[in-house]
Amino acid sequence: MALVMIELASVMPSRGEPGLTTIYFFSPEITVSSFNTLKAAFDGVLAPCGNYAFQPVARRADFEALLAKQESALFLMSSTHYRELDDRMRLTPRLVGIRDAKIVQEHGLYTLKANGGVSSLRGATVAISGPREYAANLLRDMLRGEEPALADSINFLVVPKQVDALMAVSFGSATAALATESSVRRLAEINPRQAASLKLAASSAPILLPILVSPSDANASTKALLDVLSGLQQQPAGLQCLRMLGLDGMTELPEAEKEELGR
Amino acid sequence: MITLHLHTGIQIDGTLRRVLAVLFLGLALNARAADRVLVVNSDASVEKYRQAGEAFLETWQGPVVQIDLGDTTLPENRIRSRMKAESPTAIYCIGTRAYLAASSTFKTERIVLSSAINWERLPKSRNLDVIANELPVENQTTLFRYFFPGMKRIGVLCSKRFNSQWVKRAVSEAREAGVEIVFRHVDRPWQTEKQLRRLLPDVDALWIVADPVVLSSADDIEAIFRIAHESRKPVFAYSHALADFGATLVVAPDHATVGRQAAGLLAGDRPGTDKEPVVQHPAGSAVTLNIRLVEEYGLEMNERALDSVNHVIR
Repeated sequence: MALVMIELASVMPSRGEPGLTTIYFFSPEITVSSFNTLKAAFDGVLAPCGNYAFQPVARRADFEALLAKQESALFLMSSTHYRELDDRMRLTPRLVGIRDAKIVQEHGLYTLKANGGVSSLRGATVAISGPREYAANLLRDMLRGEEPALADSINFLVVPKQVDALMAVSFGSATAALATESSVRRLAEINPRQAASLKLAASSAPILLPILVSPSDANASTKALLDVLSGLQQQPAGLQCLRMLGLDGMTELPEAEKEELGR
Repeated sequence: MITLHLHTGIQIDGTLRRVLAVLFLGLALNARAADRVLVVNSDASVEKYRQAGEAFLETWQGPVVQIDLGDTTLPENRIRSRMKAESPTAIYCIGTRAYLAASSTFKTERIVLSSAINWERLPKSRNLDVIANELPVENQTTLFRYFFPGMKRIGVLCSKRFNSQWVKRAVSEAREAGVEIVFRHVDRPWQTEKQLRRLLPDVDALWIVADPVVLSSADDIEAIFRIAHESRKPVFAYSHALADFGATLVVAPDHATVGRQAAGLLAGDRPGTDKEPVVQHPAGSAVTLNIRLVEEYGLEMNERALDSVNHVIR
């Protein structure tokens, strides 16, 4: 997925105009193209449906400040980030992303088949797309049972998208890559030789795709917007917007997953 | 006979001393991770050089000194004196001008070079690592097919003089991504239009590559895009500068990643010997997609690839 392009216009979005319901977006798991492009695409699709706007946010701190203050808004974020939020924030997860008919994704650590096991990666360069801290936490989680200290020895090479990370391994710019299983499958469809040269060295537990969250006492406007978003994939322009986020659609978060998220 | 007393008290004759000196020198040239880095930028006002330089500085942990050759009016010999005075253990050169200045100043220190066109034609210093200026052909053609899976035949115009070796390699590498490259040679600029009109009916798309004969002037570039547009054939390009001419898809190196790669190289010990440069390709790509042209030409695009686009033109 392409690298986040931080744009000054989106660093600190202003508070919404009266009557406007905004979807704020921040996720280290989705690395997207230009914020302006994303905003323009979503705003264009949402405009006929009501007084709605889409606003990417560049920094986690700004996003969390909005979470704490905004009432009539929705928040599209990573499920991992949601778990880390202060319990005192009265929020409810409503929708979850869909990709390849699943609401979860598995991350893997991929190396060349010719390489040794995980222990041979000590001090190695691992190609990642997304923030280093996020990748480091993911890697520690993957290696917890085996070599927990190994994650701290890794040198991360940040590249714009997951297909770059996987190809970096093939071409020797990195010893391993962190990528989702769906990215590897996509690579296999277009370049079977490169995909076949890789092996899965470690994997994470399934992680929920990005979720859409609202204040717990959501008003009528917020609920109406949720309905719009859960049907966005039905129209070509809406599906195109979701595809920019690496998703095929959004659906109601099942109760079991809501409970598991702890709210 | 020259004698050398080591701390062990063993006397060593001159012959053995010369052997030991060569051994120790050889070990020193298998360079260790850099302690103090000098970053020489050919011209930080050039966007790709600026991106590489900034990403390097964000990634590099140790002491660093920067020199921007685009921001100085000092003569070359004063620049070299200034560089020498910094006593770096390693130098990161961004662009050809930076490399030529550094390589004439530092003879044994480790040098990493990036962002240089045709780096192979430059004089090679010892202890040199290079990050090439181009993405591997297989990477580019893999991304072409990622966005347009149905496109199997891609046309290329190139000169024998500048790209005969490249096109042979490209045909072979592109095959790995399921792409057949169909090429026609252009040996004089006036041949471009005729060769292009012969090529376009046989291919799904035109791939513009860096060739000074084919792209000899802005008029030639405009003519290529105009003819391709009239034929409703998408143009794939290697540089974002060509997006404004009407490229449907641009796959270019991500220059920030190049800067990070340079930092990663210098943070580790240099593998190999001083005889041959260690070469990496850029590990990241920057993609620009013109959705308006995709729709205008009625192209079948894999929309799932949209999450891999850096810039969308509508």
